[in-house]
Amino acid sequence: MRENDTFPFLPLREPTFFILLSLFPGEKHGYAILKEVEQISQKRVELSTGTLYEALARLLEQGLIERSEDGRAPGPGKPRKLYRLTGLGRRVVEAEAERLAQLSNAAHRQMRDQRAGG
Amino acid sequence: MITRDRAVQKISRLADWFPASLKLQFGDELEAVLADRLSSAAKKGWLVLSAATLHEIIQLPGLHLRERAAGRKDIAVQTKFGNGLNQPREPVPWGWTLVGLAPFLFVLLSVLYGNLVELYLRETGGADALRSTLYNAGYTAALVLYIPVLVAGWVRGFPVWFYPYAVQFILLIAVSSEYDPYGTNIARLYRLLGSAISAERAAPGMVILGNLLWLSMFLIPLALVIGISLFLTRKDQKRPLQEGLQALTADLTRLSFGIFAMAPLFIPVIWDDLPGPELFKLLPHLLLAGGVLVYLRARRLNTAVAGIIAGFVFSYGLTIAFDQVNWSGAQVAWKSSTSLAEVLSCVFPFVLFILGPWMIHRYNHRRVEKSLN
Repeated sequence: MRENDTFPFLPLREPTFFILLSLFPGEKHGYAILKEVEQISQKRVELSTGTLYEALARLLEQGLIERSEDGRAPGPGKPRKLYRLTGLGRRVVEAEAERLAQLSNAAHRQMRDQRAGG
Repeated sequence: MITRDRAVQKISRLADWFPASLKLQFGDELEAVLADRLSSAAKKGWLVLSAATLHEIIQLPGLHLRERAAGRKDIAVQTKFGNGLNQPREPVPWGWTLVGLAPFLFVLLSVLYGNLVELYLRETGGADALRSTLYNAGYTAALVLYIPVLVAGWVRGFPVWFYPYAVQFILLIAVSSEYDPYGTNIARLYRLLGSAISAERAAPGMVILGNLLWLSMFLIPLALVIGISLFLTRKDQKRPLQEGLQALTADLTRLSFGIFAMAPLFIPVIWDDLPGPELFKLLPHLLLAGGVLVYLRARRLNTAVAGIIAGFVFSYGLTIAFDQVNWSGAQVAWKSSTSLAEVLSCVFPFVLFILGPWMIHRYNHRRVEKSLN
């Protein structure tokens, strides 16, 4: 059952994939997610604040990420919230990466064959 | 000159415009992250800051549309479990119920006041000028009383008791332009207080750059309500509007209740100059008041709407029946007897107007439920 539990979530939309991917190394604040998504997508995906939080709300509801207080937030002001992948979220992002890799391999294979045959 | 930091601070308030569900879930975090993002852009110059701001703004309509779509799904889920069409509701607390009831009783008090004025004039042999002054005093008192109540309703986010006051206020102002039963005795002050239908006849309007603004006088009492309310809510002017719109969207029958508030105003017109015991003429108002109590205190939406419909039908049924039975043809010349069909043809659309918002409410729930299945 565990292998199939990622199936309902796939394929992921590009911004969702990058948000989950940005959390893969570890938990992050909202703003850090924005920056990380920009960086790993090489600025192809630039999320607005509203779009990011709309996505975070959906991912929280789906149980792919979880949210906690940042106990180590430095300086004055309100404590920030941290977002991290759940076990399911981690499996979903891995499954999506695998799916994309298979697509990419298939495309490259086909093109290579085409070139070799041509 | 405005600094970039100051600009970031100002633009960060865009977070107020994010969908309510996001604000509820993430609170201040939204504004903090938006401010971080804008600060980072501001460090690269005004142009980058402008682009980041524009990027945030153009996403807003889509966010709101998607929130609405998600909200409809939630309603649909409730409907599926039997919560929609006859959804339970919290009865309005007794204190506010009495506030909501007051405009209906106010018309009843006006009728009593009119009777007292006529009695006094009969005893003292008062002239038409005195009659006009006494009636105008009552009318003005109504307008002056309604203004602070409407302002209070606005500040509190347009609660359900606000609607009858608003509808009666508009109607009072509108009627004031035509209300001149004793020639030109209405003082200019009263004309200024309201004129909607016929500004030319009752109040000459305002000439600005050579143009006569026909409805300008109508705006004076309304402008007072709007101006004072905006001033009192200046710290967060959007809040009452958003709360009011949310509550209205959740329960469209508030419009029915508002339209229902027109009913007591027409009863004295129908009763006017009919013979019969004066106290009996108060009965239709009490029936309407009963409808108000049911509407505000009912624990089910359908019961609430049934309350105002029953109040209207019984009250107007009694009024029409009394009018038909007691019309002797001996009354004043301007009032002629009307056939039952004519009366009903006027009353029927009124019932539809009361039922309309409730029917739309039901239709919306059913449509969403259907799309779910």
